[in-house]
Amino acid sequence: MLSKIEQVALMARCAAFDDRAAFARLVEEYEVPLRRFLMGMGVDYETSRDIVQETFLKMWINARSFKGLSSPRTWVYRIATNLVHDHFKDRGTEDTDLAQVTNLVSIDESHATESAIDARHALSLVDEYDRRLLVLFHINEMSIKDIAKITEMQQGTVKSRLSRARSLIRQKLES
Amino acid sequence: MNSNDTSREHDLDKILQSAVPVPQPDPWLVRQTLNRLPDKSTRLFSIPERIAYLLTLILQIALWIVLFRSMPTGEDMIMNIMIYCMALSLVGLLWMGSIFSRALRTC
Repeated sequence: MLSKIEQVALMARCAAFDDRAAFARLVEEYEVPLRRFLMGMGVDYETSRDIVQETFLKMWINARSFKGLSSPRTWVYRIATNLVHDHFKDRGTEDTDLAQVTNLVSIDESHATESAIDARHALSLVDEYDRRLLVLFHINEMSIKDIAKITEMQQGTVKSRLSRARSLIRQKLES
Repeated sequence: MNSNDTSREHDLDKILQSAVPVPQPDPWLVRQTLNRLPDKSTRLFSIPERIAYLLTLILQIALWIVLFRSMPTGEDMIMNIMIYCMALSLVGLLWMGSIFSRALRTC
C-alpha cells in the first residue's frame, strides 16, 4: 500500500508529465477499494467496473486541476461518489431500491453467512447518503476527516449522520 | 464514547465487512482502463502565450523597419542609434530565447 506522500508524488508526475506508469500505479492502488465501495453502495458488478473506469478517466483528464489540498485517495473517492450518485439518479429512486437489494444479495451468496446476507439487506434499505457514510467508515475504513472531505460535509455533520445511520442499520438488523 | 459503544461499533464493522467482501484485484480492468486513457494535448504554448509572442514579433519587426528607415548613414551614425540597435537586438534575442528554451525543455 502506498503512503500518502507516494500517492501525491505519483499524482504530481501524472499532472506534470502525463506519466502513464505513475498513473498505472495509482489505478492498481485504488481499483480494489473503489470496487468494494461501489459494491457496498449496491452497484452491480458490471456497472461497478464501468464506474471505476469512468472515475479513473476523469482522474487522468483532470490531473492538472488536482491542487494537493486533499490526498489523491480522497479525490478519487469524491469522483466515484459523484458518479454513483448520478448513476442512481439516472435509474430513478423506485427502481434503485429494489435493484439494490438484488445487487447486494447477489455479490457472493454461496459463501455468505446468514448475518452477512442480513447485513446486505439492511444496508440496501438505508438511504443513499447514509449508506455512503456507513460504507466509507465501516467497510473502506476511512477517517471522519477524509469522509468529510469526500462528502463535502462538516466533520460534526458526518459524525452525527453516521451515528444516526448506525442506529438505523442496527434496528434493521435486529428486526 | 464508552467501551460499550466502541464494542458495538466494532461488531458493526465486522458485520458490514463480511457483508461486502474484498474483491480480487482485476488486472484486466486495470489494463483496459489504461488503454482507454486519452492522449493529452501536447500543445507547446497556450493561447495567451501564442498571442503575446505574435504581438511581440509584429512589434519587433515594426520597430526594425522604423529604425532602418530613420537610420543615418556614414559619419551621421551616432552612439545613441547604435545603442538603440543593440537594445532592440537584445530584446529580440531574449524573447526568441524564451521560446526556444521552452521548446527544448518540453522535448
